Amino acid sequence: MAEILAAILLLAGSGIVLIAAVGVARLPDAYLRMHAATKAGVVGAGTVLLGAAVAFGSPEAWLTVLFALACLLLTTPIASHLLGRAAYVSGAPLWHGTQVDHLEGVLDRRPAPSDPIRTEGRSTAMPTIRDLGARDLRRATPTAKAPTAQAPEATRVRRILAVLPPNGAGDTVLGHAVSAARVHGAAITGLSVVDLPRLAEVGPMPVGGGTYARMMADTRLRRCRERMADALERFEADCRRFGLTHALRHEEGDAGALVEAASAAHDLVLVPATRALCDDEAGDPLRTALGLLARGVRPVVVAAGPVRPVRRVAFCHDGSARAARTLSWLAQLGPWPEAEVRLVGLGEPSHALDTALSEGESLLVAHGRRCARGDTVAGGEDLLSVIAGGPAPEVVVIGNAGGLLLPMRVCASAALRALHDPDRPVVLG
Amino acid sequence: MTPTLFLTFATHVSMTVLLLSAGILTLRLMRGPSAADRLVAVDMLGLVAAACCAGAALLAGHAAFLDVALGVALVSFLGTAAFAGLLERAADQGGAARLPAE
Repeated sequence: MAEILAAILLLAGSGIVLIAAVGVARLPDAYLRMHAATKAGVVGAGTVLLGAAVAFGSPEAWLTVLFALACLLLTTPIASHLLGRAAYVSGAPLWHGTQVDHLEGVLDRRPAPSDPIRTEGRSTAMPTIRDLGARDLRRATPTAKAPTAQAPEATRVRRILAVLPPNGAGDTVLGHAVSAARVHGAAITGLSVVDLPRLAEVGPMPVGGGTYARMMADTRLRRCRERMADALERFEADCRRFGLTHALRHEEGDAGALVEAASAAHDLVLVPATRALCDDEAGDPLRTALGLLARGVRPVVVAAGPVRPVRRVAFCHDGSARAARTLSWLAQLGPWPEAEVRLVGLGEPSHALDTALSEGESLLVAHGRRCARGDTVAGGEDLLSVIAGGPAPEVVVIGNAGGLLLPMRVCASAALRALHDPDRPVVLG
Repeated sequence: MTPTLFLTFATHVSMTVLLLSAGILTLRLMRGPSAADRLVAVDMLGLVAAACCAGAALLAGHAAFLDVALGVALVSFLGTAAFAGLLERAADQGGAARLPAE
């Protein structure tokens, strides 16, 4: 009987350990991984140890195992606490779906390279970015704490990054970038990206189809390069026409990583409303922007629709710290300095949301922006009607798009997609 | 199947599963991407090692291996604590502080 019990304990324990290991491998950030490793890990290892004790059945074995178990149960919480703290302090990135960061402002967080060896390798691969004084402006401005009481800083848009797609949407990006650059007198960088991993992907191939697949991929790559050259040419011509300070860049590789690297030295990032860069297939128009968001590039302006003078901006605030940061970016940088910002609350009406909205209002006023208070709505569909209800805004800013990401994947996909009007730029924060 | 045979079978299966878990964890250990991720993987590897010791004790039929499990469980805590301290100190001293070279 004891043997069967021991066998069951062994099998169950090793199964739990396996689940924990899969969790460590698959969960998205260090904190979630730690949660899988410590809790499930201890239960699994403890169960295996108990199984061994049951199998031996001798008092010595029981004593050893119980002592080991007591040690595990006592030390693991401490170890995991230390681990989590070290991870946070050393700046291990949080998952982009993270809603609340309770340690923000409590622990001193250094987003310095937490893994110097790897980070060094990466920055030597892209020396140009580092030379540009990377990660100064765009990163510094939105991460600043909402300075309600502080005197407004005189920040303005100085450098604009326009990510050019090869297809017709490029003209839209170009138009928006050029008009923004003219308003602020900013320098403008045209970035054309050839997404090599995506182009190399040819899908399932029958046996013997390799040569043909390679030919297909080569053709796609060549065509993409030609269109990119076209897009850059048009970009340059436009910039010359309006006498703008401009720079051209052409990069090939993983598109997301390249845009992320380039975005560091710019105040405003404009991307096309396409499913992917270097691709004109129809699909989710916000996908490129969401991909960048997942990499921590925010806020991202999704350029769409005709270029119009922006008089009204709708800001969707869900009361989160992320949205507050996006709002402070909007207030300090003022990409649309003349526009009236209408704050729309997103979520269940609560005191916290109310406070966040009032704080946002005073922050906007402190920076000399015009501001109005909109209604508070529960979800995406209501939001649409509120936005459509009043005088239509020319730009919609979503304060915490990461917060919308998860529900969007699960249920409200249509809501966020509907929010993206093909005639109106959207800013994802 | 006699109970003893079932136990032997279960021991072999669970050892295999534990090794598989160790393999998965090693993957995470190599991929990182941050030092904290590697640390999590090392911590969990300690637990797997303790469980493997229990399995080894059963395979060898010697309860002495259970003492090894006890030792591994204790040492892995110390290791994790030390590494966490190192990581925190490195962050405190800014980017200049380097983790020991791999």
